[in-house]
Amino acid sequence: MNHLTSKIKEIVFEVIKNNSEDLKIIDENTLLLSEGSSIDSMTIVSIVVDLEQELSDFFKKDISLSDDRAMSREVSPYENVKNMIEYISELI
Amino acid sequence: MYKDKNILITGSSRGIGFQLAKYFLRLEANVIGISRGKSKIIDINYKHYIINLADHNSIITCFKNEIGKDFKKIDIVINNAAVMTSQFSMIMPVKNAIDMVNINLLGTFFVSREASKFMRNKNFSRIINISSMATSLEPAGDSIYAATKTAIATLANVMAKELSSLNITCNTIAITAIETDMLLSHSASAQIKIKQIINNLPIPRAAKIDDITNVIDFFASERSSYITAQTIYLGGIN
Repeated sequence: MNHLTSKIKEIVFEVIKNNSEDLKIIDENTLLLSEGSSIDSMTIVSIVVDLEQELSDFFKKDISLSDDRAMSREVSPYENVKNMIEYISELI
Repeated sequence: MYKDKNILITGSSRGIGFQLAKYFLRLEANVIGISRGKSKIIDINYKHYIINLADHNSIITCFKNEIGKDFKKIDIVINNAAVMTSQFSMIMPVKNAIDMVNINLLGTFFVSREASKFMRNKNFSRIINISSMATSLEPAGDSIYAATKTAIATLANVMAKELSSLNITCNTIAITAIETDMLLSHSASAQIKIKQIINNLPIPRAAKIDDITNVIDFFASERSSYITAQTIYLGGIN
């Protein structure tokens, strides 16, 4: 894993942890906006908002995870943490 | 009740927004004002941002780069800014119709959307939309205006559902006419029409700012945490 992906993963895990304190395990298999997820939809929204802010601040560029591009992808970045990390890596 | 609260008001440079800003400043709130032009308010607790609410990307940018950095939290949002052209549908100018949708409806949506990001993780947050008697009375000439003002009540009702888990309530006050710059800028015939409407209200007088702040105080009260997705009409309209 390169340094960039490692940093993205760190930010993603931290933001999820801050927004869903009840979640015991957070890993790449953690489900986000998909069936069986233990995170409610408004918490997912908060995670996305915080991620956009944290990533934009850290990488000093506008990062949008809620634009047409993100919404229209065949593999949704919202499905699970792994997809989200991969999508952010592509953007950066 | 408002001491040290951060209250954002759109359309704060004149009319009702201006009077609301002065009201909250008197009650020791920090007021975040938004309008297309400069503000005449000079107060240490007042910060003004020039935004054209028809330019939705500039709303997003301003919240991200300015308001969000100057104020870490927003407690109350009052979506007051609006433009009004009263004209029969068949001769309504295209630009005026689009401006009403862009400012009254989409401007309200994008301000609520961006502000709500700074209203999370708290026990107290309020979004209050200023609607109009036109939504109920549906006067001839007010097709787009009444539609946009009805739409912002619906917007509040839907956002109330989305944001309830974040302790944000969303409500609407539908006001009657008040003697503001916007009202006085209408043609003489339009002003006569408005006076006729006022004379036919169950309580036949124009609204005073106190009538409006009374309802805002109710929605904004910490005791009103169980009041959301509601519209209160002034003057006996329903």
